[in-house]
Amino acid sequence: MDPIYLQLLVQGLAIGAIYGLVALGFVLIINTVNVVNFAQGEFLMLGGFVGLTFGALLGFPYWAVLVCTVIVFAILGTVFDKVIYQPLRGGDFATHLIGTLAAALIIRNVAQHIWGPEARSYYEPFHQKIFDVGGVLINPQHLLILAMTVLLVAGLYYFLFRTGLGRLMRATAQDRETARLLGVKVKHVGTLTFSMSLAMGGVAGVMVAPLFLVDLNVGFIAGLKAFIATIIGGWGSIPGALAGGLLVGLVEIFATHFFTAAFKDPVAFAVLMLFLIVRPSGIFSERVGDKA
Amino acid sequence: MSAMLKLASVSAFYGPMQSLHEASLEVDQGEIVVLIGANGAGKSTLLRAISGVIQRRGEISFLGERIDRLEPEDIVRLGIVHVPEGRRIFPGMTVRENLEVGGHAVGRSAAGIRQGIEEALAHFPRLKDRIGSYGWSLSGGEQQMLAVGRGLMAQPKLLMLDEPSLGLAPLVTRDLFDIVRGINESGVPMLLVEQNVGLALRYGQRCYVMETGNIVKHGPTATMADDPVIAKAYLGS
Repeated sequence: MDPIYLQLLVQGLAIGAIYGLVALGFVLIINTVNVVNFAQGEFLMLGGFVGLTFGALLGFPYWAVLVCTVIVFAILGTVFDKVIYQPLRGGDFATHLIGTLAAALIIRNVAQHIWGPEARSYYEPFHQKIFDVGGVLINPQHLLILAMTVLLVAGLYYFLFRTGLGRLMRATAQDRETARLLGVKVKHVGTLTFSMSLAMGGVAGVMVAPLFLVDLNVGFIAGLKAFIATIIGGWGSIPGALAGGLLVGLVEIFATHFFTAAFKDPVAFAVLMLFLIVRPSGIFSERVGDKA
Repeated sequence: MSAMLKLASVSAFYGPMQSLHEASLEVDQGEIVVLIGANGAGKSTLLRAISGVIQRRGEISFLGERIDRLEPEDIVRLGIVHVPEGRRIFPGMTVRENLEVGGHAVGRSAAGIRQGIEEALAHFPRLKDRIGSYGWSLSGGEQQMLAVGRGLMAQPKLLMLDEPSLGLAPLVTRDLFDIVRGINESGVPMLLVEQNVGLALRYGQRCYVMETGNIVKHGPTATMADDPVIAKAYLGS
């Protein structure tokens, strides 16, 4: 086999993992508060800028950049919940959709105001080094993304399935009113969900910065890709979001290789259309048994 | 002695529609009070008004404290546990997890939750064999037992059960009601909504009859069973 395929595989999985993390953010919010958060992609963009600020401007080491990003986005998640979600609570689906779209525009414009309109680069920790492993060119950033994604997903599963608070979150996702009748403070669970979703988006943004550049336009298209991942993975399914993300990433990278980079977005949408025709319920069509 | 739970002229609304009209009701320590009436008479609405999941007006007090402005999650913490109609088990969670959620939801400690699960399983030994099974895989009777067991995890001072017999075979229903009576005798008063009037009158001490959102009659179950109107309308004799 041509070593290029292994190289493309790693690259596709890494990009896919990023889409998967953004899609996970979508899914957590969909499950807990039944809102599709169209601002989710913008947190990927914002993550890049926050990482740049901590890493390049303030000179923090990479691990500290990641930790600080998590903290900043957890706080932002609480603010997002209080400012965007809570005031519209009880509104219909479209109301929330417009609310989150408005949030996306605000975030983008505030980011432009703070960091300016030009794209920047932020390379930590590998300074764009590429390793040649027996003819296969490996970008260590790809491996870092994959390792971090495994870690984050494992952490998320541990939280959801092994901790009391995680169970309350699953209970709220499965039946909100019954959860309330049992005494679950669903409002707090909602706030926590926003914090977790945003933190995941922010970390993904820091990790993907060396691949995508730190750019105001990253969020919208990545958000769309994650949305595709959510649909083809199976609406509301956690493993589905990841699988969908990986699939979109792979398709994109291989399309770029076989055609040109201009084809990667149309091909991703073609996959979406194919799924909507052949298997509209997604890879992990929702069964009550495995809904988390 | 004043009543444990007291409703004075309580009305409830679904949006603009009023579905409960100035209902007054009392539940005393130790008793089983049953609510009967046709479909849509407002029985479930009354329970939902007490637990706070719908908009209500009027005065509701529990153990001498006004609760009609509290949120559902705070009312549970005061000790009123509402086991809703249709059991509403979390389908994607195991029996054990469903019980655990019942304890975590009101902030019980890990030790408290372990003890609570043991107590719940002592009441419903059949759940022991299904402890690792998912909610969706349980039979109707098992689901109802789990729903009541999950309610017990909050250490209720008053238990409200909404149509526990719904869709259950007569034998299963009888088992369930015997267990429910046992729970009552262990010191938990109950407000019980039941379509099966014969059953309700057999297990309850006092009874309220509802029609189109109003409480139209109340009294001890012993005299209700002999009431010709009740007999004709609900017992089919």
